[in-house]
Amino acid sequence: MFDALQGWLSGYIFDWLAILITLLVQAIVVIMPLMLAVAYLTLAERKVIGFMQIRMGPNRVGTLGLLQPIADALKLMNKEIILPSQSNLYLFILAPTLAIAPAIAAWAVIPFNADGVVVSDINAGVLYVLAVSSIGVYGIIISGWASNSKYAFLGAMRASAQKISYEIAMGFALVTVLMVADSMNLTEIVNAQKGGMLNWLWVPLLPMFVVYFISGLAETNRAPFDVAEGESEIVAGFHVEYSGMAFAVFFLAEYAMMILISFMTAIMFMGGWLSPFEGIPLLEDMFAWVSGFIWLVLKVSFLLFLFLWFRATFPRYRYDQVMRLGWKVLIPVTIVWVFVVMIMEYFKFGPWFN
Amino acid sequence: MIKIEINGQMVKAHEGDMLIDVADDAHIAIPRFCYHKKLSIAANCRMCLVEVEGAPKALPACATPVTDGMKVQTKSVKAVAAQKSVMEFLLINHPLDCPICDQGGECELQDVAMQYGDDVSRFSEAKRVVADKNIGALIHTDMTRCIHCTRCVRFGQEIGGIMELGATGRSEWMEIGTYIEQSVISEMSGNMIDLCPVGALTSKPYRYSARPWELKSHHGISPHDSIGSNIIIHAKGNDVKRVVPADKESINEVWLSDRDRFAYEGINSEDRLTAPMIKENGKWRQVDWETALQFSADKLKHYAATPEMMGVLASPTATLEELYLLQKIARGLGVNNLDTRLRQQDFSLDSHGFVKPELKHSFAEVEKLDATLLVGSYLRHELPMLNHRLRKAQLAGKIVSSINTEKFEINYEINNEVVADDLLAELQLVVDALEKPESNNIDKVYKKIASSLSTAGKSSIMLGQISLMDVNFTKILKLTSDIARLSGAVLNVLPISANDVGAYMVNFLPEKGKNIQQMLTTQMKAFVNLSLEAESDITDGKLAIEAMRKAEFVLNFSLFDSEIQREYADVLLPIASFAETAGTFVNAMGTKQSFKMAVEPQGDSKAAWKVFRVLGNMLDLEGFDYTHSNQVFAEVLENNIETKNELVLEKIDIKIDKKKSIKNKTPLISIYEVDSITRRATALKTASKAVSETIIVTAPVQEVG
Amino acid sequence: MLAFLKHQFKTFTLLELLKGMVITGKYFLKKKITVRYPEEKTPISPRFRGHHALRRYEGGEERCIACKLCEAVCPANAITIEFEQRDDGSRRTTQYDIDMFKCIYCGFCEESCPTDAIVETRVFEYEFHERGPSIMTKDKLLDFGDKHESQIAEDRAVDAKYR
Repeated sequence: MFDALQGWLSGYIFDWLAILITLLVQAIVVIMPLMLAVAYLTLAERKVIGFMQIRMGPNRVGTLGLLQPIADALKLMNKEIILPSQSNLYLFILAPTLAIAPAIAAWAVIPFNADGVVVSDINAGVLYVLAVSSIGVYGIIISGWASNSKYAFLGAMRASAQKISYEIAMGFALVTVLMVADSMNLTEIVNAQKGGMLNWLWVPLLPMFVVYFISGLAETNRAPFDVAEGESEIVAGFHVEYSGMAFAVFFLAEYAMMILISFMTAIMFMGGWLSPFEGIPLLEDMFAWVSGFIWLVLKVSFLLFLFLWFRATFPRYRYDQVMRLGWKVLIPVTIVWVFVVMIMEYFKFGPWFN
Repeated sequence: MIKIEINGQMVKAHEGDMLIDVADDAHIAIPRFCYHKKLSIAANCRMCLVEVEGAPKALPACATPVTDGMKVQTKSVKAVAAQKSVMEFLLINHPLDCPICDQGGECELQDVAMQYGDDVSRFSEAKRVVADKNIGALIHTDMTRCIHCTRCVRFGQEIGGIMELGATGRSEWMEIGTYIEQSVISEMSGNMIDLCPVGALTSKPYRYSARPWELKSHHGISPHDSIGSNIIIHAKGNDVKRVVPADKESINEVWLSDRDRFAYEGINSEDRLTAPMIKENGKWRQVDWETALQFSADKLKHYAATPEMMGVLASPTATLEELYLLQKIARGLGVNNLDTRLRQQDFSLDSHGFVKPELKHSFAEVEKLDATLLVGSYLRHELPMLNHRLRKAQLAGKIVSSINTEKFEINYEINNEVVADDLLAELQLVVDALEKPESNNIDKVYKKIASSLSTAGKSSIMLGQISLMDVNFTKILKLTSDIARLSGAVLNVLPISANDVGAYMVNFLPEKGKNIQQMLTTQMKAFVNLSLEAESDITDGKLAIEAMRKAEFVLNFSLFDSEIQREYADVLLPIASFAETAGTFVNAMGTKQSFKMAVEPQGDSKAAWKVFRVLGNMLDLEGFDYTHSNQVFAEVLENNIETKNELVLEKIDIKIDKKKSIKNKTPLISIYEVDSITRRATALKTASKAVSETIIVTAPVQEVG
Repeated sequence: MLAFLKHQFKTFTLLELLKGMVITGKYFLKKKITVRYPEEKTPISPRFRGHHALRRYEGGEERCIACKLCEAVCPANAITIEFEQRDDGSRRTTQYDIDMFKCIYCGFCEESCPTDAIVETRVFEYEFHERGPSIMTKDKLLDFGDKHESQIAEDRAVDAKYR
């Protein structure tokens, strides 16, 4: 799709300029809807949590509160960015940048549909996502350090320790996926799950699906693992000194990461853009007209709803419990399951290992 | 010593003590209204009913003497039932106007009703209403509130000495009142306000001006007489709202004279001087302290070049610290013309030494004096609390004699009373009676006085203000000292003002200098006056004003602004009153009583000791680096000048002029016009009109023939 | 052993977590209890403690007798009263200020008032934007009382038997 654009452009201008313009268009096409999604995810979050508390959630700005995110954005943009006098100014400003950049960059390899609707269909896609999203922790550490505040520093320490811990479990979970799919290319991983709901990887890798999603919660610092923010303990954690747009950037990064994790889960374990009715005689035909992209969005929406549901349901973990869960439960489970998958692979078990 | 049991607690007591006293000592609370430790027992309120084992009915604790082995229950069912019933009866006719009652919040009835009263009254009939009485400017009455405890009646009979209030009628129709319309004017009547357990008698000047819980209490010493009554200054915010007595058994017991109680109004007078002022080219200008003090210091330095031409006068109502610092400044400038004896007219003893004003007995001892001779003294108005002690003594059978220029209304019987225009002649007769007791020429009364003094175990002669102001003071002193020597009595020259003794202590005296009379009669170039109103505080006010007018420079440290002051003074510096400064008063017995600041000085006025400290520094004098009034007091104690040449009258040859002096009628200072503050207390002013007195003293001598 | 297995089963099937999610899930679908305030209003009790008012007797005489009990009882020191003897000898306030910023609407003033002079009304829809107007003076409070007297009297009447 974008190749065509590039080919058409290079007929008129320099090649490198054509490539550049194409890249820019690609970035805009991905980032703009992403930001919009983030905005409305915040509204959805408030609505969902409100509903679970028998409230209505925001309903004043626009019909059903639909303009609320825009009002919030305008408010945040108008607010003063306070630069603490004792902070390290350079790092203080660098930190939000470091937080949001990876959260956006990772989207480069996410396929949205069959037929290569992806910015860059590289072979080591999974590795890329893992690598890039890990960089996000620097933004948090640096913000905690640069703020020169005890709360922010404590938050940053907690966040970094937590991210490192859960990345291991996450990595192992992905290893099992790679073992089944025999590829690190995300499109190919989806294609490997073809053939109906039961062919998706969540079935043989159910524990890994759970572990991955839980690790995803922890990676994004979401409830019940939001000890890095822990407003009741350390005020707001690493971003306590940030205000206005600087704070908003952290906010965007967090929600972008949430959506990313949801996409990754959908792609890895829930068949990506594949229809759930594949192989079911009547339903398959009935829903044949539905685009793969819609299926993907529905799956992602469900996962995001889970994020919110968890937040409304579970109380925050104590910090030592977070570490215990990561190191003593999730990592052993994933290691065991790597061996289980190995055995299943050897015996060509079910429809998945062939 | 016997032992009794109250509520199961063993208590030691003296045989014959009243049960309520024993319980009070053991801190066992028994409610009461009519009982008061300083008054006789009436046992008419019945609130103190307690159960005594063996007695068929509950007994009043205030009128039940203790006996050995007595068992008392104050909280038993029977006792409480009795107390509650009494309370219910008392509340039948008591109006429910606590919210507008000045007593509300400090009311004994209210407090006891909280414990023993019922929520709802069973009495549905109409309540009794009693018309209020107008009993003068000091006490406001709401007689409907009266519960007939008769404390006020007993106070009048037993303490005041004048039965001003009484009870008429019986039961439902009993009323407390004056019977005929008249004002309550005794000099201690204000104590009825404290005594009244309800809001029937309340202070008129204080009426509707504050509620008790808003008031902050500050300990103070009353500056209006040399008793040094301990007072509690009640202030709301920065306003002195009232003055009540503090318990001080050795000085004022629980009482307070009306002068001390109501004079606080003067502090809040509109006359208060609130900013420093200087006169330039005949025009007054308000200036800041810096300017005023610099101006004064320059002038003082200028006139200090001729120190003998500068006079320093101070009111003896100033504090010890103020007097000390002022004399330190004056002596530092080389000025020796210092005086506080504003009322005195006869200074012929000054060359020999100074009379130390002093009461040589403690107040408790006064009550035990077997014989007392008052010479030229309206003690009841001069020192009401001392008079009260003397009254106690007289009522206990001791002998009180007096030699006065006029027959004064005294609230007890004077055993031997002599009224004559010429004090000298009368005193001479007493001397004669002592020297020749067998002589027949001498009237019986003088013999009685003489014998009472000489035969008594402890006897005392007290010289009051009339003697002190007499132009023949020296001769009176000589004759009384003769009487004292011959009879073995103690001679007291009573200090009248709050700090007469203090002024003597800090040597605020014209040692090597001119006394007040010389200052006023010789042409002085400059005067420094401390809280002094020359026209009223000095006996010969006209002469004083004339002298001040003639002086080139007059610096007044003053509480108040007045026309006459503006006429003669050149600088007016506002200073703080007794409630607004820290300081010390030395009372008649020599007790030094310090007090702290109760409220901030009004307007821009400042505590005088602080002003003197700054002025001392501006004049480049040594040793004015005080940071606290305590340091000044400590310095006074260190440099105690008690050892100055004591006057020994026996060694001085004083001729007693047998010639009679011509009498002029000069009004004696009224009880409520003793100092600038009392003169401005409006309620007292109104009250003093009722007292209305013109007392005659001998005026300057004019030799005849 | 059985207990151990049961425990492990519970742990690894995340049963308890799912139970919790079922509960929140149920609430998600329930009818919402939110009151859309300016359009909808909750019922107000006659004892509601809103804006203060000073009342008068029917004859027009102000009820307040300056007993200062409300000032004394006020836990926030919001009330300031100055008083003096009026010309007819009665005790009246010259100043009765309530600082609405300090007030915590505890209702003690109303409870302590012996003449039902100071009351808290149902009115709660008012706001202040700066310090001066937040102090309700005697005149303002009396006017407010006059304006709402019928409602105030009705509320007191309803509540009278419980006082």
